[in-house]
Amino acid sequence: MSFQSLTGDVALVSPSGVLRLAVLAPLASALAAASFRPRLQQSAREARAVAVSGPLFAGAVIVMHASSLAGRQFVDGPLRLGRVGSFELSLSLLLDGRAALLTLGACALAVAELVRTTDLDRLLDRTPRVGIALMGVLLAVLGDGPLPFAIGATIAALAASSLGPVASISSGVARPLGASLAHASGVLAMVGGFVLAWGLGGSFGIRVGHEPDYTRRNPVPAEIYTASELGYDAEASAVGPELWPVLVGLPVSAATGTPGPKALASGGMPTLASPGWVSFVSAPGSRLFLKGTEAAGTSPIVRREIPSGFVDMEIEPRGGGRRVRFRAVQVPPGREIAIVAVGPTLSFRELSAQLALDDGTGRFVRRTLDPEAPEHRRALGVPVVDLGVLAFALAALAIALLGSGTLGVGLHAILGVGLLARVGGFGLPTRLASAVALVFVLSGLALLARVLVAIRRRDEVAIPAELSRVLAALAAAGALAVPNAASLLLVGGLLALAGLEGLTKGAGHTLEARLLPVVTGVLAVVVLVLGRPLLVGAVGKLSGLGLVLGLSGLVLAVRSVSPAKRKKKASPFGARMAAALAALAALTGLLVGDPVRIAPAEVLLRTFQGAGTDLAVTGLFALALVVSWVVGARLPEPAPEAQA
Amino acid sequence: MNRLVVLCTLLFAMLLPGRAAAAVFVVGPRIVSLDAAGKASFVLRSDTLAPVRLDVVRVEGVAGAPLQGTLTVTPRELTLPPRGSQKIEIKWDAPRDSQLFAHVVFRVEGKELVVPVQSGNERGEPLRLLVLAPIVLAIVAAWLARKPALAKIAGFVGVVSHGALLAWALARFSPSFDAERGNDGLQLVSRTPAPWGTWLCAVDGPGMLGLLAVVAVAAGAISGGVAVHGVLVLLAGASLVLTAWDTTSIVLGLSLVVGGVALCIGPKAVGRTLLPSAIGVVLVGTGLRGLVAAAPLHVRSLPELARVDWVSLEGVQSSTVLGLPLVQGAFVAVLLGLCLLAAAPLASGAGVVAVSVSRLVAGLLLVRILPYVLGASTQWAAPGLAWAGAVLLVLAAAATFASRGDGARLAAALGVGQLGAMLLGLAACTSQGLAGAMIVAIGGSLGTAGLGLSVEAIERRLGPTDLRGLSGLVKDAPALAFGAVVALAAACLAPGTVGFHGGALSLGGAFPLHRAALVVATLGYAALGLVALRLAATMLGGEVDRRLVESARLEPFGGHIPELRRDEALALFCALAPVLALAFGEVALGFVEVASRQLLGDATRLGIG
Repeated sequence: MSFQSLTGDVALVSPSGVLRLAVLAPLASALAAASFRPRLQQSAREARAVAVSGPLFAGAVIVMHASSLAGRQFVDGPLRLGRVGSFELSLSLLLDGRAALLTLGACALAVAELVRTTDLDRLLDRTPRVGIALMGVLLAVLGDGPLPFAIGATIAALAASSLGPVASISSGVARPLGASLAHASGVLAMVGGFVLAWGLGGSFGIRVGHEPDYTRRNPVPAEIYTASELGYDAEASAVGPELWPVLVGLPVSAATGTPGPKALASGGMPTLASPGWVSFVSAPGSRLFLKGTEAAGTSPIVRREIPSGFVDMEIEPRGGGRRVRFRAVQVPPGREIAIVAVGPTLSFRELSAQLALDDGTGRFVRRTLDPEAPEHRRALGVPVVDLGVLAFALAALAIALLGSGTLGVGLHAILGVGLLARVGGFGLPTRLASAVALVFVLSGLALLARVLVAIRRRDEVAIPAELSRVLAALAAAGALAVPNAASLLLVGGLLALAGLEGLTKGAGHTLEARLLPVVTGVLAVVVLVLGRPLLVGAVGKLSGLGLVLGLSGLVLAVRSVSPAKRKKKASPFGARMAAALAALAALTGLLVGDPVRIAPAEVLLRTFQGAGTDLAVTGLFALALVVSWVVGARLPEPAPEAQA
Repeated sequence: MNRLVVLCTLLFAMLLPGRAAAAVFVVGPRIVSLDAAGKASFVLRSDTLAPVRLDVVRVEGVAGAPLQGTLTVTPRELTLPPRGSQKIEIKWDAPRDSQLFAHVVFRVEGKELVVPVQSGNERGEPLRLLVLAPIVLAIVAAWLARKPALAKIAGFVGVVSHGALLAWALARFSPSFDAERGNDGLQLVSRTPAPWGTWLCAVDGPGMLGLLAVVAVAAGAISGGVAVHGVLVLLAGASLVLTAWDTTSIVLGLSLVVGGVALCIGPKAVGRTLLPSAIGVVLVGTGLRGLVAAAPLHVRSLPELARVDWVSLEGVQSSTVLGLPLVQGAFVAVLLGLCLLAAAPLASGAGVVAVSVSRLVAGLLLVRILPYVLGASTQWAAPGLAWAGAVLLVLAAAATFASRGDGARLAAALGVGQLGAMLLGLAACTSQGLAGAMIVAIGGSLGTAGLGLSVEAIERRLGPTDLRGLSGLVKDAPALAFGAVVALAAACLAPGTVGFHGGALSLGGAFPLHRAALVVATLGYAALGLVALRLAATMLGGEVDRRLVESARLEPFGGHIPELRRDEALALFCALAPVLALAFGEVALGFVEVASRQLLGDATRLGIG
């Protein structure tokens, strides 16, 4: 195998220090609502402002990041719990397009739920639960590994268990079950992670070392390029992770030093004057040295611009030790060499990166997992990849179809489908995808019966929740095979159903509540239209969109605390809340936002090539939604006694 | 059943072997201890009728670790006359706190005679106060039993002083202790002459973490109204077990733990708990005595026992009837005893708290004995252990369904599940599994203790209560509900608590060697949280049961469940704050890693998938 042929569609990684705020913001609003309840009981507007501030802020942070995604990923590693053998337990966060879509959907659902709740006591009861549940969902979906998923899912399920109507026939059974099975879901997800880690050539013992000591487990010899030919060392790979310099498939824009759209990958011609880049992402503490320089940077994320050509690199593992040397690695102009760790890992990002590597035969790491390859690993007589996917599928099944109330069901669905979509995104060569899809389709059909029962009983509360469950089953059915489409379907559908719930209940007497069906309908359409380019990374830096959404949230918050009538005075407390929110949004924009730049038109066009059918369906769906919601919004306001 | 166990124990003790005879042996203590200057001497004696020639082959650290400093032996070559003896002098200029043990290896007629040497790096004298101070204060508290307020003050003095001593130890404890220094990870070592020989006192990472957890639980127990003198005795016993590295002290510590549990539970239910626990201690003691007797050098400390090659031990095989199976028997006896100790039937919330401490101590001791001392035996028994763990997890999950809302029964069932996860991790023979077992022992016990305190607080308000009927508890008593929810989650090793890290690591570590058992264990572990989290969800949602609102017990409170009192809140905070703090920090894995480098290094050489 020629080493030069080792390339890969490895996503470029950018560090983010504020992604954690998206997870913490809903918790903060929940704590504020619980702590200041006596005060908030005096003003519905203040209460609503506090309630929606957390989800809105979280959404704004995600939008700010998502607008700069464009084929890369944001990583924030707030907590490293430690390393045992080759397992790094951490609560790192990883934002890619799909996670952004799912988390934004969760935030929108939470805001819709809080806006729709007009009774003050009920709002104050639900705010902490919604906030904590949303925090759990964000941690689970953004988490880079099964551990954050398990923790987030359990927190979310426990908090969401009480979001449904107490006396509802449809939700009475599911409420405790959702929380109970979250534990099982977490356990199964961890086992799935361990199984895949072992399948990637893992040796769980002392030979791997207690530290990420690449010298121990990296047999990549020096002078790999001068040797020009490097056979894959199967014996050495059985020891544990190795480091491989990989020519990343994405070309790099010479002007900005940032990766361009993936669509240009095949046609981009770097100029000779362009610099190149070297990047290295690993557990914190390892240092990258370039010849003739001091340490170029320290992990978790190192990215250095260097003159294109040949370069000598060294990596020193955390805590010192013998360095790994790469001599005369060729960095083409305008391209990036990423040092990728190959071997057992619990990190979704690392797993995805090494599965993306291509050695020219299209197999490389995949041959240990691909059931068609003769050297694939097996356990219990089953290809290990099937075993791992089975564990993840069971984990998703244990949580995706449960919950109570439209929000509870929606959050559960996002958890389950998010996990399956994450696994589906790896492109693992499993034979289980159709079986998993069949199980979920059958589940969806069975759940359809519950919808019919609810319709027959005219249970307006249960109809949207049960429809959400059916939607979750359908989305989960496709999540392994077509994760992006499943995520789009789920988020768009859930938003539409959230609006339907507001419509059927007709409980809102505030302007926001009455407009909710329209807003959610429009959002659903926006998701279906913009979601696709967002997921494939074709939308460039649309910081403007993030700013607009962030400001919209701010306006909503300010409006919530402004006097409804001239007789009333504006609330100083609410004003402070709004000011704090504005400051945080601005800070986030400054830290994360990039200059506004719309992706070239041809890129967008290329993105939509072959998507004509999708667009037609989306258009029809959007039309139906808008008509429905406009009709709904024009319904007469409920009588005062009904509001009481 | 109990009589049968006693009979088996006695039979087992009778079958213990004598020490193997040797041609040349060390006269006096079997471990040569250095003085403060690093010097010592010992006498070699010949038991043969012919002159014996000896020479020093090498001096080495333990388990292949390079020797720190220079160890000189004088003379290096000698000839012992028939039935004669010779004094040997040694000097070791090892740096303080580096290596605890070294070996001087002589060659005697083609065989090797290993003389263990223990360095004189003693810095841990105050550690002994961890044991002695609680005992003194327990006596004071028992004397003040009729004045609960004063007794409680004595209890808090004990806990605070304990905490201060631990803070002292923590300040000197090096979290980055280098494994290459090769002293089994032991720090703050001290030796004290005791009636039973030498009390070898030291701490390692898990021991330190365990001590911190025990202090937290003790503070919570005293604040929560558990008998003060019982808690202090429990504290003393747990401290002795967790800091002692010689077999006799460990057995004494376990006896104190059992006594503390009995005092905490009270006279009504003590019979059910004391008898199996006492049998457990007897079995542990018997097993350890068997190991000491079988070891060729008659060593008594765990680090020395850990260096005995039990599989190819010619002396044992030739000098006993049972041979190698004896070692396995001792190991099984230890296991059985600890199981009995951990799974003792419970009576009340106080009993749950006390037994959770004993489970923590037993769990960490299990880790020290099975993979560390009996590494080869553990490897031999690993499949059985793994299946035992898996079956225990399934049984525990089933038992949670049978608990029917009884808090104490639920805690007992979850405790059995924790034991199952521990056994699975121990059987893994991988660093992940062993770290998981240790974290389960600590995190699970904290959760169970918190559950006991929560149940006690609930029953104080509502009387004997079916936890399933506590719907809407969060509305009336949010702090109580939150505490109970965290305790339930921690006790069932649910995600978000430190116990989950341990449980998950146990599962992952077991995958390479025990896949079929792992499948069963996964199902059991997944089902373990069904009931507990269902109860938690019930407390967090819905409305308060109308029957409770209208009950006579709540009438004085206007039909509302009273919120936690300050002392109860403090109790729950002490027990449960570490559960969350350890789950979201580097502390747990960091301490386990520091502690277990040598241990894990030994264990994982046994066999990796």
